[in-house]
Parts: sequence; structure tokens; C-alpha cells
Amino acid sequence: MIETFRSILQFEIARTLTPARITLWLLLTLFPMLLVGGVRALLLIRGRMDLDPETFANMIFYLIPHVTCQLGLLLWATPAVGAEVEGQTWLYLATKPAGKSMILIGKYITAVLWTLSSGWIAVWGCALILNQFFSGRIAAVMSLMVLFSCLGFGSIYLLIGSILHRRAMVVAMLYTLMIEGVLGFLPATINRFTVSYRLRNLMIDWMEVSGPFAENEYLYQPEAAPVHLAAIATHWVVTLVLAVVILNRREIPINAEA
Amino acid sequence: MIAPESGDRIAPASGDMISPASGDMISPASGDMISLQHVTKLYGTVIGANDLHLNLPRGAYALLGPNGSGKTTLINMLTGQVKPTMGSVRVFGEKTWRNRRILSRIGLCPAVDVLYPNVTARQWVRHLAALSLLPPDQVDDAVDAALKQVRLNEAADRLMGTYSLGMRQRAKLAQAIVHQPDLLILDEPFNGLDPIGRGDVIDLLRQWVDQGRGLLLASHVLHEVEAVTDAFLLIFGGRLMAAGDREEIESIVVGGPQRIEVRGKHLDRLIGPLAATIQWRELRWQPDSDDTTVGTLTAFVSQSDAFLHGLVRHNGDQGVRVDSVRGVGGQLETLFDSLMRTQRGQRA
Repeated sequence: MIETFRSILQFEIARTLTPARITLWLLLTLFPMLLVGGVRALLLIRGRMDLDPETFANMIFYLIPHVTCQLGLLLWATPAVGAEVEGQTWLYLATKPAGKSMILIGKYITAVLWTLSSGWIAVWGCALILNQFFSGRIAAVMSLMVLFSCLGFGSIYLLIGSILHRRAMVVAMLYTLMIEGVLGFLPATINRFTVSYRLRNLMIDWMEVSGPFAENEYLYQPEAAPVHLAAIATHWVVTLVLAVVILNRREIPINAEA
Repeated sequence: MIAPESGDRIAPASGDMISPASGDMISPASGDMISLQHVTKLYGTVIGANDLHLNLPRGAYALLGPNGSGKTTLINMLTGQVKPTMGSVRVFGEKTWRNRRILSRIGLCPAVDVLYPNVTARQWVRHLAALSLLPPDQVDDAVDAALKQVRLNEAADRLMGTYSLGMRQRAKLAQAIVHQPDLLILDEPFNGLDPIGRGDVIDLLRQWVDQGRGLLLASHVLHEVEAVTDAFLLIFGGRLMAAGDREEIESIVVGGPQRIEVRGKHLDRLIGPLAATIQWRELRWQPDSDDTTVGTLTAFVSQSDAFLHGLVRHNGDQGVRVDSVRGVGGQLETLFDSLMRTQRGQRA
């Protein structure tokens, strides 16, 4: 099994090492660093030396575990099945005894690793740029946020990609905007079903930050961190299992004749 | 072989090659390579396979049918990619739908092209060998052997984006045989191959068959597959129209609709007498440019035996001289047309 995953990983990385994909990876990695660096430079130029580490922590939280990771996973996890179906190469994979489940999980691991590498480099790059305003603790917490974000959002996008082989990206984008972006920030109990709610709560807990989110009882519940971690883990397992089950039960005829 | 009296159902050939389909009484023999029991596949309201019923012992078979006849649907069912709406599909005695275990005994070379431009054939075949669950220490040797077998070993480390269509076909074949399956299923394997490439693939498949392995070769071109096997399954409109060897298949055509080309002198003088005595769809005279008395008479006739008798009867009349007679292109289409009519109890 390990050999199979290793092979899938090796092959997927080899086939994604194209100039376009590498450029996208670089853009996703560099864009938060450039933004944070720009803001810091602007504040220094204006003579603001009393920079608030909390503001930067919040900024990085929304830039990296959210924007960078979500965009990366949208590009790598969502089309895991659809790209093979559309390219008519799915049949070569699905008719091998390793089975669709292993292929799906292998592609998921690849997508997570691609995005994780981008997110972690961006976090530590920002830590270097901000220097004394960004402690090692903040960087460590953000790295964990990146990990949870990749696992959580990745499995959701994979599930969407397993259900829809066409227009999966559009639906995943809508999900990100409407569910995680809007519903996750609604001051209502329903927001607890989103990954962004759990990530935000963990960030507030571990970073002990204040601000509007921390003061609203619907947006921040001072539950113990293990509760949020358990919720993310449950969400992760359920979505992955669903993706595997749906893919295995679906018929995907390639070039079916009438 | 054909049972028109049984209504709209045609039973496949009996004999050594194919067990006769005798309805529900027959049970799939565990030794059969492929067993289809009244298999029907519907895509919504469109029928992909229609009451396919046959048992095939281990051997080499050509699955013949025009594009859209249901060949790929059948292959999809044999490899467990689609579930039959009715009936059961078994390969080596095991059901195929959602059965990963049976896939280790099947090698599939699909008709669809492979589009991984920035990986090498070796990387791709190695990846699929790993997905075939070969022991890790055997993967590299298996990949080398498969690439060598399809004569792609020298170009195996080049990116597939630089390959010709023929080379990609060889890579496809290599991934199908890398795990040494018991049954090799090929869907239009000659597409895009030049004559030398076709020859190589034919040699490879002959060797495969000589080793006693199973082969199912789907194609829409009869003469390509007859170099590999003489056991044919004819499928059209999702239905198994006939099964048997070449002679049996040809016996269906004889006497039925056929396109015939006759070369000779003054053959235009035959058109009148022939047209008056036989049923014909087309009688066309094409004189040669250098000598207009010599040329080709192309006939598409409903009863080829009556046409040939007429030809013999009139040979020598009014200076008519027949030099050669041959059936021409589109034999499969003609054959299927003939089968359809025979099945309906019609004469064209």
C-alpha cells in the first residue's frame, strides 16, 4: 500500500512539474509574503514603529490558511478525478487492481503536500519579513492552521470533485465563497459546520487574540481546543469517506457507445 | 449458427469455441474466461448492450462491430467500470462490477489516447505497474520486460509528448501487459499505427495467444483482426449478431447483400441483362481511361449468388470477358446489414 501511494505521489508530482503549475505554486507562495512585506514597509515609511503583532497575525491567518491554501487546493484537489475523466485517462487508472479509493487518496495526499509546502514556506517567509513582530509561537500556530486548512478544505474539494466531474471548480469556488466565506462568519449556530469557524476558534484560542470575532459569542465559542480539533477530524474523515464511497459506487464510462 | 426462426434473437456459434446460449437453463461454467448471462445495459433510454448471452472459454476472440455498436460498453462491463442494468457479467467466474481482485487478471488497452505529455513512458508504465499491485521488487523488471515486448525500450525515457501516435499505442499496450494478465482486452489497438507498427502489434498478439493467454480484440476492421484470431464475435446495436470463424461468417454473406467489383472487357453490356434478372441497389460501370472497353463493374446486389450466376451465364456474350471478381470494402457494414436482414427474416 505504501509503495502504491509512493508511486502515485511520484507520478503526480512528475506530471505536475510544468512551467504553468510551478508558476502558480510560486504565485501562491510569494503573494502573502509580498503583501505582508509591502504593508510592513509602508508602515515603517510612515514612521509607525509600534506595529501590532496581533494585526499581522490576523492578516496572515486570512491570507495563508485561507486564501493561499484554499486557492491551492481548489487547483489541485478539486480536479483530481475530473481532469482524468475529461482527459479520458481515468480508465487506465480505474481498471488497475489498486482501485479507485487508493487513486483518490493518493491524489488527495499529493494535493495536500503541494499546498502544504506552499503554505508553510509562505508562513515562515512572512515570519522572516516581520522579524520581531512575528514570534516563533505565531509562526508555529500558523503552520498548524495551514495543516488543518489543507486537510479540511482539501477533503471538501475532493468530495466535490468526486461528485461532479464537470464544473467542479465552479461549485467548489461557490462553496468557498458562500459556505466558508459567508456562512462561516454568520453570527448563527450553523456556522459551526464550517471549517473556517473551527480554524478561527483555534486561532483565537492559541493566539489569545482579541478583536471583533473574539467578542461575538456566535463567532467565537470558548470551547476547548480538542473540541475544535475533534470537529475538524470528524469533518475530514466524513468527507474523505464520502468521496471514496461515491467514487466507488459511480459508473464512469469513458467513450461509452450508444 | 444463425437462428432467424427464434425471432429476433441470434445465438452465437456452437462448437469448441463458444458454448451455445440456451437461455436460462445454462449456468456459467467456472472454467469460462468470459461469461455473459442475458446482459443488458441501458444509459437512460439509450441501449448500450442488448441481452448479450454467451460463454467464452479461454482463447483469442475478435469483437467486431462498427463504431457505436456497443463494443466499448461491453469492455466497460468486462472491466467493472459500468454495472449491467440486467444480467450478470463474469470473467474467470467472478463478477466484475466493483471487484478489484479480478482486475489483476485483466489487462486493458483502451481505445482512448493517453495524454500525459510531460512524463516518460517508463514513468507512466511504472506508475500503472504499481497500481497493479506488483511486488515492489518486481516492478522495475516487469516494466523493462513490457517495454521491450512492445519495442519501446529505447524510447522509454523520452517524454510522451514527443511520441508519435504509434509510439503512444505501444506505451498503452505495455501498461496493459505489464502485470502479465490472464486476459488482455484491446479496444481498437491498430488505430494510428503504420503498417510496420501493425505488423509488430500483430506479432506481439500472436505470441500472446501462443502462450495460451486470453485475448479479446475489439475492432471495426475485419482484416486487421483476422491476422490474430479466426474466432469472431459480431456485435451491432448492442446485440451479439453472430459468432464463429471466418468461414461461418462468410457463409452468412454468401447469398446475401454484397458489394462486388468485377474487372473485364465490355462489362457495360452486362448491365441491362443483369438489371433485368437480379435485385440490385447499384450497378456502375467505370471504364479505364486508356482503353474504354476495359474497366470495372461495381455492383451492390441483394443476392450475390444470383449476381454471380448471371455473370457466369453471360460471360462470353457480345465480347464480354470477365477477368476478376472480388468483394470490396465495407464488408463489415455489408455483413451487419445482411445479418440484420436475416435476423428479421427479410431478404434485401
